[in-house]
Amino acid sequence: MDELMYYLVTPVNLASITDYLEYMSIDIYDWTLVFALLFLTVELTDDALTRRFSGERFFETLSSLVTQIPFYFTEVVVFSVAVYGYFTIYEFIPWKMPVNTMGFLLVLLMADFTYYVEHLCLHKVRLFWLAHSVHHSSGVMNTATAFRFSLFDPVVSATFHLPLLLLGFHPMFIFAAEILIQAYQFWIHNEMIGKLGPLEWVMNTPSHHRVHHGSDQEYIDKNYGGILIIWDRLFGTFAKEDKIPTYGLATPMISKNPITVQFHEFYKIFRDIKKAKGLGEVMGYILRPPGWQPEHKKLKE
Amino acid sequence: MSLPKHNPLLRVLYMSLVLFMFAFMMAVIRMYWPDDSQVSEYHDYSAYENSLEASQPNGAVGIGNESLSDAQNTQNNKLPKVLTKTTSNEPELFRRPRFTVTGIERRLNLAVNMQAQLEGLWTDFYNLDTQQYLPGLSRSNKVYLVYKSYDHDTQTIEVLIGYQYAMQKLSGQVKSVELLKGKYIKRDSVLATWDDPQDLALKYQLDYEVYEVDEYFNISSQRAFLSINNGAY
Repeated sequence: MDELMYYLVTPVNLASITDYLEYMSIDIYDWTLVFALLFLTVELTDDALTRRFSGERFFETLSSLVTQIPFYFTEVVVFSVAVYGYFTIYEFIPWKMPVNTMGFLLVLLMADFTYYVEHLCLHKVRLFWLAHSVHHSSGVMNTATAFRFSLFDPVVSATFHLPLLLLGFHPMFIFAAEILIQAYQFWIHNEMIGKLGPLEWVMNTPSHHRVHHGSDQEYIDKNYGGILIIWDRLFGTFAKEDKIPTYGLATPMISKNPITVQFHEFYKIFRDIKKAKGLGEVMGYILRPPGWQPEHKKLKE
Repeated sequence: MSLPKHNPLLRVLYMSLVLFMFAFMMAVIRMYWPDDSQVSEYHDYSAYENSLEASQPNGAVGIGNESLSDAQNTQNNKLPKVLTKTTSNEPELFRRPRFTVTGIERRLNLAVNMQAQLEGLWTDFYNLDTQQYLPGLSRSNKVYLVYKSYDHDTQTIEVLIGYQYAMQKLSGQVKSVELLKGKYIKRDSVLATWDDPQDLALKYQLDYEVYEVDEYFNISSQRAFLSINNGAY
């Protein structure tokens, strides 16, 4: 097994824990792409054998995969800027957290909580929902959905992790933690795996994440966790899967056009802002949760 | 609550793949963990040199001995004279990764006082303006001595002393060498092992020593890695 692993992985002469985390986390993410293709192949084969396969499901899957193209372009730019920015800011932070294994484990835990907060804001602030709605717009729940991203997603992530940097943690710790948290979540986007017993108490699982993608009333805005589900349990945003959810947005978006997929929510917010009366309503449409309406509009309805 | 209908075999396959993926990722995490094998204590090779003929290669000596106390120097002189066998209980074969060493290089004469030549090389490297010649290098506590291009006719060998660092453009006296990944045998000294390989199938091509040093180049440990036939690739 060691021989095989040595051929598959390329260890380098690592001088420090930050080098180790850099190479290890990026390699882990690269391998998730390989496993994602395997998982998707099994899912599509299963669709065919169980006669769930249809043009609609197939093109929805393809549409999810195509979002990777614009996403990677912006990811390259944003990540480069974030790396430069984070390391520059880090130089000026007078207090530095220890750069060791325990330090990284602490960052991983805090980054998972940061992800929970970020994810909650992605759902509760319409400005962020502009990006995140792309991920939720698919009516299909398979591995391809895990890679259905907005091209604006990298910007949000870099911003929310700044507090960790300001606390004095090494930038490479923060990047590696975020990469691992993102990499973990790809395998929970499926309908192949049911409940996982005691793991459901602590970890984010396929069952918990199906709830998160549900547009049913009891499932809306639930289960925001990354690796751990404990934050949802602690802060009252947890919901158990009692029935198979209806996936997609509350107002379904069925287009497969890659431009529509990326910008459908932009069109809706622009339409709302045009009708807004005053700055207050404009800011309300931008910063309040999706679906918010001014009082006078609610009374009319 | 029941999931949509799935083909049972594919479902088992899928779950097996997920389990395999987690095991694989754990293995990746372990594979990247640096080799933390114990290194041998630093040896004072002046005692070793006296036991050999002048034409035979000697081991390396670091500069900065003047900072050692008399007691420490005395202790070093009591070390065994000949150190060709590893004294550690760890496995001998190590997989070493590919990496680049950049520093200064010199062709040394094995027939002349090697210790003095190596000391000169260490001194020149210690005095090297790294900001000018190795820009962007982060301070490292590991110095590499790479032995290569042995010439039997002239009894000379090229020795490069440097840090693990890859540079696009080399300037002035700075040179680089890329060390191959593969299987290496761990010993205390490259030259001592070349001199007495015993049953080892050494390549005698590109072997190196790693020294852990402080900011004054006082050596706290050293180890040597020698590539063996059918090892490096």
